[in-house]
Amino acid sequence: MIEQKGDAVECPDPCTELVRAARAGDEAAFARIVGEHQRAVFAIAYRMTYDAAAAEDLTQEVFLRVWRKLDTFRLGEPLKPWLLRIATRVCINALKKRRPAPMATVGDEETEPLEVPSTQPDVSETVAQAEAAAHLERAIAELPDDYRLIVTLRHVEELSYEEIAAALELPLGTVKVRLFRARERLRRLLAPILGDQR
Amino acid sequence: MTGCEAIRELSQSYLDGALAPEECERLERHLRGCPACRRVMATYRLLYSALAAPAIPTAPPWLVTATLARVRGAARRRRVLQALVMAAALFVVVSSVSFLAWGGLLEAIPTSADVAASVASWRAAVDAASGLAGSLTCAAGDLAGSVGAGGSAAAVLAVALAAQLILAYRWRRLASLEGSHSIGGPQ
Repeated sequence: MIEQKGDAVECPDPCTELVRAARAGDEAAFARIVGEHQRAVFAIAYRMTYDAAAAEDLTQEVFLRVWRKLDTFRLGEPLKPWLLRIATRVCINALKKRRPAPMATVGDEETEPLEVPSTQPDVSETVAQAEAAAHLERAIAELPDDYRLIVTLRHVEELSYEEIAAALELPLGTVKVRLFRARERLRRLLAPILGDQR
Repeated sequence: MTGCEAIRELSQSYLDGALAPEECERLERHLRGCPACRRVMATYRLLYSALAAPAIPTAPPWLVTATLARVRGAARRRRVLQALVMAAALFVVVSSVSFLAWGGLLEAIPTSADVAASVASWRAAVDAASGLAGSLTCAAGDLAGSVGAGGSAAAVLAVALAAQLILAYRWRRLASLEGSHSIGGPQ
């Protein structure tokens, strides 16, 4: 089965203690929850909006909602899927009001590639990787919202099928079908780059 | 779904590490004899490795502080709201007890004209208190949505409902008193 690499998933008990402490008003405990999950929430918010400022706002909104709903969290369950369920709801609601910034279609040579943080020593390799990543992001931006979300939860947050189903409140079968279709669509969109002409 | 399409689904599950051993064998058997699916599998591998390195900027370091400041502000507002609601609840309780205690004084007023004037002013007071109790009920509902406020909300709701019952009782007593004086009741 899929390995569960999510930080919150590996430590259900400490998370329970953190939530218990945060409920009791321990600000440091809530700060730890924010610190541990902020990257994941921001990544989802960014993928759904493609706007860093909007993603920052949404991230804050998500944690405000998390704080208000701490009493509804079932102690003993993994925190991350519960938290990401709130994050996806907040992002989807925000998307209904505000569509993502239009992105260039795959293969559009006139547009600037997305900025990609670089730590690679080889400049040409770095440029090639950045271009490939930019193409990939453009292709992901072309996916419907629910496909984009599910791909992000699987490949960025590394959630298992079961955790995705819990986070999105979807049947397991629906998760598998959507993931398959999303990746199949990406494969077709990126066929020239991936070297597959079919 | 055709054979090759089904194999593509298996290929994705395989790369996710979510394929049962017997399905793995089925996949490998098919791939050995199908160059097209082998090619698709190769592109899936490239796609998966690209998806694992997304071009998503990192969250700025100040975001945790900003988030906590926002939560702190919300917590402060909630505490103020709770204090206001509790003060209003106390006011309603005191008002209701006062209405009950003073009821006998009203009924002892001797003339019809005095009763009419008193009933009118009492009615206005009961109306105002009923409005307050109604607002209190709504506030209790809002409070119930706040974290850690379930107990307070239940207490406020109980007080508000009790106040509304008491006020309804006073309203009926006023109406019956007014009726008895208007049809030539006690002078």
